[in-house]
Amino acid sequence: MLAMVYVKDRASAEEVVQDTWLAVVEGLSRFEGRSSLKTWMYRILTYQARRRATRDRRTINWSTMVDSEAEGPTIEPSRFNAEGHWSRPPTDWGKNPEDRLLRSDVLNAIRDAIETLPPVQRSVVLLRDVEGWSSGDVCDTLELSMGNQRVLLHRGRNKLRDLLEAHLTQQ
Amino acid sequence: MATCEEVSERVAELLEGKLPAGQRLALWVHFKMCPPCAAYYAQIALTVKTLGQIPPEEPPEPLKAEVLAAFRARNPPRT
Repeated sequence: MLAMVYVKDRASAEEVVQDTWLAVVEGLSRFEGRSSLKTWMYRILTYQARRRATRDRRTINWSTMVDSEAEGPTIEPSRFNAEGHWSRPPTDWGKNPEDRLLRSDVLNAIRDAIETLPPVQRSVVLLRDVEGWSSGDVCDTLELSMGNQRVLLHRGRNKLRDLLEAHLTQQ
Repeated sequence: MATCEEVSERVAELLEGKLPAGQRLALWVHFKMCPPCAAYYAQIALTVKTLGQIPPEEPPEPLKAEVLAAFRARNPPRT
């Protein structure tokens, strides 16, 4: 999923993943343990993906994307009144929302929704919340400041919250 | 006192557990007095928990097979 951020389609992403595994096997004896094995592998993945994107002439400016995704407020300003208090507060999710969220159809819907997030938010949410990485490892791998990482994570989570809300209120 | 809009932007910092005690306390006091913000915080926390339950994506079979074949070509099994 992370490779998809850089390349044009699923087939290219799979090639990138394959090249990454081969590079990992080739380079394992040179791995010096200066970072965790996981971050080292993901760095190879992002390197391979960027190389592939350049080859496909699909270069993207990472820092421009980071800046544009971190701009503006997280929640639609129309949900707040002039004093900054909720005019459209979050809806009540009822009793035991957890039982209704941890169903496979809801989990599949969230997985699909993650794919629709802007690229950097998608990467941060995937690594932090789905894969359970630490903020430090995510900042290192994706070349983000702690502040940007947190803002982008919150934006991604907020959009996914909206989706869960829609699911819970539909029922 | 912070507005709800400001509080909602600080939820991620609170969840990271890295806020100084004073700021953390101020947010909890706000939540006590403001059920919508308390609900928003709980819902974001539940979203994070739900995301952690997504099963890992298995690589497609052909990709797995190709990678394994390439490994074996490089490192033939010892007999």
